[in-house]
Amino acid sequence: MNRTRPTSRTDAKLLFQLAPSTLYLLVFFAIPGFVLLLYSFWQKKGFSIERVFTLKNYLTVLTTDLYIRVTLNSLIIGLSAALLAVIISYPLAYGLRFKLRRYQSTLLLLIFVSVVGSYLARIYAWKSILGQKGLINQILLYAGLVQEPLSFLLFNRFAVIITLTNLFVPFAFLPIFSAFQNLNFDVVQAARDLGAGPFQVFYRITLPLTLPGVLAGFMYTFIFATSDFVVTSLMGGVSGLMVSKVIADQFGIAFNWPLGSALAFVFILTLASGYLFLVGLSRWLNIRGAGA
Amino acid sequence: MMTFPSKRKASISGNLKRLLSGLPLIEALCILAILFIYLPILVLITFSFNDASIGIFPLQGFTLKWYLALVTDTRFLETTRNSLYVAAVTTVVSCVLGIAAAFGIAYHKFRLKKILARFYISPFFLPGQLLGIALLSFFAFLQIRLSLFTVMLSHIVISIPFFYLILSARLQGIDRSIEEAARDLGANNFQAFWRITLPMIRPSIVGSAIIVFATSMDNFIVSFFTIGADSTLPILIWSMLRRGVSPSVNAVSTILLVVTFTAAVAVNRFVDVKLQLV
Repeated sequence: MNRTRPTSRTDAKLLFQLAPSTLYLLVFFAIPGFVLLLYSFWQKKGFSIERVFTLKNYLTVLTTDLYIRVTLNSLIIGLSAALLAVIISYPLAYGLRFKLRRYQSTLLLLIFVSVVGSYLARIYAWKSILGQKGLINQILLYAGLVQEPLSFLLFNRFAVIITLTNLFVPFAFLPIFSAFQNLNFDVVQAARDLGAGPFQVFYRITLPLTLPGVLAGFMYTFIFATSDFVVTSLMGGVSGLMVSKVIADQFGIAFNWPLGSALAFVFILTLASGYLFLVGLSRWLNIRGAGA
Repeated sequence: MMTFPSKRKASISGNLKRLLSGLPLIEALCILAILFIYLPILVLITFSFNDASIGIFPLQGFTLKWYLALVTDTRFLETTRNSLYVAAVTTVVSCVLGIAAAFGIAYHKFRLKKILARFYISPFFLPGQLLGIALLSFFAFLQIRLSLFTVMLSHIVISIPFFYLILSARLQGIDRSIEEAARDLGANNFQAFWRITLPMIRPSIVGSAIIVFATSMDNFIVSFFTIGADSTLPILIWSMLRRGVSPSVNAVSTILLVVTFTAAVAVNRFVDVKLQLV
């Protein structure tokens, strides 16, 4: 085709279209990442930062019990939240695709609006739900299920997982729903015509075909939930303490940016290995899916 | 559809299966999921009208005083203006950059295309906190004073991928031969774009712009690290929450939710925005 043959004119056009965003993201995304990496090899001296190469920060991160524990805690919390979000989203996506067609656009709109509105206030609302004088305790007391309000609902790992799940369900839902939308209904129909029952259709057709969406949703939720520092700061307590809070503190009150950067990079590497593990798992599952 | 009645169908598991498929189980799960998503939102809306200064149950009675308190609060008005300013500039700049990039990638073939396409969406997958501290170190390294301007620069980084993603998906779906036909009929490049291509991608642009605007208004995490002494609405809300003054926060959030919801409904009604994610 004429259009795609490289000429100086299309080259100029291409440069005009791609150069601005490429430059912008290089300057304000790639280079800042590199600067952060530099900081992780520098050293805090009093209230200033000494620009001398050192591996001390990484050694501190890898040998301090607390940092390893909070990183593991972050992973446990992130995985739990991602799993819960997927478990909640899957029937929702299934229902919107096959059962509630009439209300599909309204419900999609509701889910969409919840993503872009009031992040902080929603976290705070969970305090009013889980607190000593919160919604759940009031309901339990009213129903006579407990005599005393439960105090273990807030300021722990459980509270963090529930709140993160709530915040990121839409992030799990959207890719799953997108997979359901791309699901060719003829295939389902064909399986039925060939005598497959509803459970067989689900296990052998619907589930394998929507699994990529499930994995994508799981990964988004996992990445965002694991790295959220607001929820753990507001309602984490001790058992819900995450590495993201520790990193935020290094850039705030502790004023130890080099240590904070080193923590961040160890955390990124941990996340990346988690991500690669999930990618590997999905490849493996896809092969299994094709073979079954 | 053919079914063969057999003895196996009458077994207990068969009955159980029929019972389960008869129950509106999926529908019930859907309603529960939506309720779960909206539970904190319903709670915060309720508390915004509740006549008590702390967010605990039981409720104390109806009041509008938290809303009235906002109107007279100069800090609230000022930070709202700041947030609107940041969100508006962010939306316009990232719209132009993101859409141009989407056209460049979709309409041309060249080496490094795949790598560049991945580069454009990568900020989308970087957690906000990590981007925040990276930009903080970057600005400190260059000794750039933190302000609303640095917040804006940071918000644009997360918004370019959004426009790029949505527009790339849209451009894949449009038939380029229509544009070509317009050229064959004598339209110049600008006319072909303005009268043919743009109307086809306009719903995606409007939809993305609303989402980017709303996310920028609501962004706390990136702003938190890059704002310095200035303040946006979420930063003000954060400081209010730490001092335990919650009802006004609920009122602010309720207003923002209503505005976002109205905008989303309007877009849904007047232009056909299809959900095109990934």
